[in-house]
Amino acid sequence: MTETIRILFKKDWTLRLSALKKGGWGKLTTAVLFAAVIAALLYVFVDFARAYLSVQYLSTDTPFVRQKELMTFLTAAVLLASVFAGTRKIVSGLFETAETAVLLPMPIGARELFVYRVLDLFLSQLLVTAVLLIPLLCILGALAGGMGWTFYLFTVIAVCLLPVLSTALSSLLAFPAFAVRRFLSRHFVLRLAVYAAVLALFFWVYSLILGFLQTLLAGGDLQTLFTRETMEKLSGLAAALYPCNFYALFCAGQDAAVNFVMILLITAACGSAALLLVQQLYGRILKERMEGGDVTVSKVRPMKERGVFASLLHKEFLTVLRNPDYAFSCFATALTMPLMSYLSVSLAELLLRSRLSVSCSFELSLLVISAFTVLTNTFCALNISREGKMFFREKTMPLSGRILVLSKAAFCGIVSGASVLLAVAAVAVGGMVTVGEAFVLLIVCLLVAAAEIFFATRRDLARPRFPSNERDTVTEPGDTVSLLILLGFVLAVLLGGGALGISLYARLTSASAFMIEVLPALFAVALAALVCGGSAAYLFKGLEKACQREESYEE
Amino acid sequence: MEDQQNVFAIQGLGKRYRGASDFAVRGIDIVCRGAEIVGLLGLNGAGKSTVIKCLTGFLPFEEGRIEICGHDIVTDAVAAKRCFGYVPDNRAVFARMTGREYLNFVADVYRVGGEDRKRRTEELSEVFGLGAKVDQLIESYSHGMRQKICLIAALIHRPRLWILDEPLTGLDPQSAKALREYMKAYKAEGNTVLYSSHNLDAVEKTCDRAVIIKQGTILANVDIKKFVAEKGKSLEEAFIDLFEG
Repeated sequence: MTETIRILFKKDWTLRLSALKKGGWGKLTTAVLFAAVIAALLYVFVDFARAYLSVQYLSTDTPFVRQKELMTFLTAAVLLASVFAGTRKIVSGLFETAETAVLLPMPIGARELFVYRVLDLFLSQLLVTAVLLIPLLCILGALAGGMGWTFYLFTVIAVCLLPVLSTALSSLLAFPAFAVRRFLSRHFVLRLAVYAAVLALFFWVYSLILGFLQTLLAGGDLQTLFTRETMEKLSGLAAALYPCNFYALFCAGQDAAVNFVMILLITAACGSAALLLVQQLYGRILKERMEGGDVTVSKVRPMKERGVFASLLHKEFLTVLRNPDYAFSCFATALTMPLMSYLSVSLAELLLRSRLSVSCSFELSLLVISAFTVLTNTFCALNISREGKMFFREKTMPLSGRILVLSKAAFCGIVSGASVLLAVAAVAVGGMVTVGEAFVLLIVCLLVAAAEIFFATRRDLARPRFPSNERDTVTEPGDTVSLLILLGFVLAVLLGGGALGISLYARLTSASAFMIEVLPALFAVALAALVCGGSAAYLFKGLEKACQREESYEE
Repeated sequence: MEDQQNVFAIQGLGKRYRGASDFAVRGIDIVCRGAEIVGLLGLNGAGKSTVIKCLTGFLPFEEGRIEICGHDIVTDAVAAKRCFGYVPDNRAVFARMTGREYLNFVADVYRVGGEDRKRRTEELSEVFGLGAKVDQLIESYSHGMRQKICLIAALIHRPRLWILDEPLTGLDPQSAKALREYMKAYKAEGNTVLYSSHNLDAVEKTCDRAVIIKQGTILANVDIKKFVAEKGKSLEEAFIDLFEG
């Protein structure tokens, strides 16, 4: 068993080294950027920790107590993230990779495969936990002061034990997560609803962070955030965060032996439960998977006659809705964009009002909604690529390139248009813009969306990146996505910034009402129409020839 | 007048791939006037698939002219494409549709009426043994099942010309036999089948005529029965002799 696992790890290393050799500069740049982000976050954390440790309302609120609370939160955050990532890795690594199908016919047991995957997970989580937690906990120790060598030793021990717990919890959760995922894979609309709910949750958290930033901007001091009420809630939460508080108390040396035993007991209990579950279920699920267990039976739908364009549009909808990756990036993003826009406009509006004492909601809405529109439209950069082999099959069907491309643009237009409409409605209902402004906003953002869709589709037609994985899904964004985002943001800044510039200039120079109210809108409509026209010309010029162009996909 | 009777006519076809110095195929002339099954034979890389891809409008070409039912594949592509049904060698389908949804989509594209598409779906599903699988997502299909849905999709509009590129790959013996028999029955209805394959035994049993391609040019265009009788060997042996000679 040991020898087999050693060989499997050797294979992993060979693959990882080979991947590292490719695109060395790109990876180096990513590493440097990552290091810069970590350094910046550490800097912010030191400031935050210093403020948090000094909060005192009662005589018992010593920096030592605050340190334990913060350590508990940090441990909880890392444990939660590790369990989430670990569960995901086990589900995809054990049940869904092509590698499992390759390895299973070899003289490698299901048990060995599981041990190898779990060991691999443990080592990666150990590395991530150590890199994240050790510096943060040590910073806390240094800031609180009075920590002896035992604090640092116990911190290292705790950091080594935490991945054991997260790995065991991930193994336990992998089975229900797999069952849920399998269930959702057969219920496309429900899956989309779950995705949208998760994204909405994400933006709710995002709004909390924005609220935090708003308070910070208004107060100007971190200390103002930590009111007595907030601190009481945080203290209560830290005391209830089992088993993370055991780790914090152990590191801090408070009842170290008792807390250490508690950690060991919890870890052993989770580990044993995971082992038991694995023994009972893993082999069975794997066998079922290899036998092609997922039989997806659909309702028998009558064959309904449609026009060619309607049929192509219907096909777009079905194939996107039923692909989890595409459904997420298309529908879920479009659904949550209005919320994202609304929150950002309100924050930007507050900022501008506090700094310049002027209200420019229309211009800000223009900037923010058109900027977020590009995020919804990044999906259109795969309009041709996501067809995969079928793009070639469609060339042999009695379809003109124009109708094929137009059906895709129309599908994206419907999704993007609905998203823009909701975003504009949100800012209008929120009282940030008048009805007239909302109408102009809608026109401009729809023109922007159309321009982005036309551009992305044609560029993808010129250089498609067809999927080569077993899921037949384009998973890596190509340079069309990067270029679209860049151009989309530039356009948003030009539109919003230009309108804002005109508006501010007019207000500061006490210009006429026309200059203040009408000129920014006229400027935005004119610019958006110009860009949309240019983009449409780019799409339609030589379209048929481009559709019939020889591709290298199958040569 | 004579041209209008052609089901398809390839005249002087020359195709050079992007970046390649040599032509992949050149001087290809194939004319098919009526009900027959034509086999397209050749070694790997001989140019069979290139000819089929040019014929179906999949690939642009530099030399020659292709007409299908009197429609030029370059200048009147949509009309020409309505005249044939194509079974590609890569089994390309929309995997996240059910078999029935995919067939409905293809029927829409080829403008097949509501009743006709239902009847043909049932009939062809039975012929090729697709059964209840027609209402499952194609992504759950085996290779053979995918091949079957491609075969049915190519026939949903009852094309005058049925083009098959390596159609036997992945099919079980029973389905392969059913396909061969259906090809003959389809020809008997006055249609034409163009069939590219490495399976010479199947070609001998099914085709009336064979166009043999070697290094991008036509080596022979023969009546299979006469050819086999003249050589006094099976098509497979005669084919090997032809290439080694």
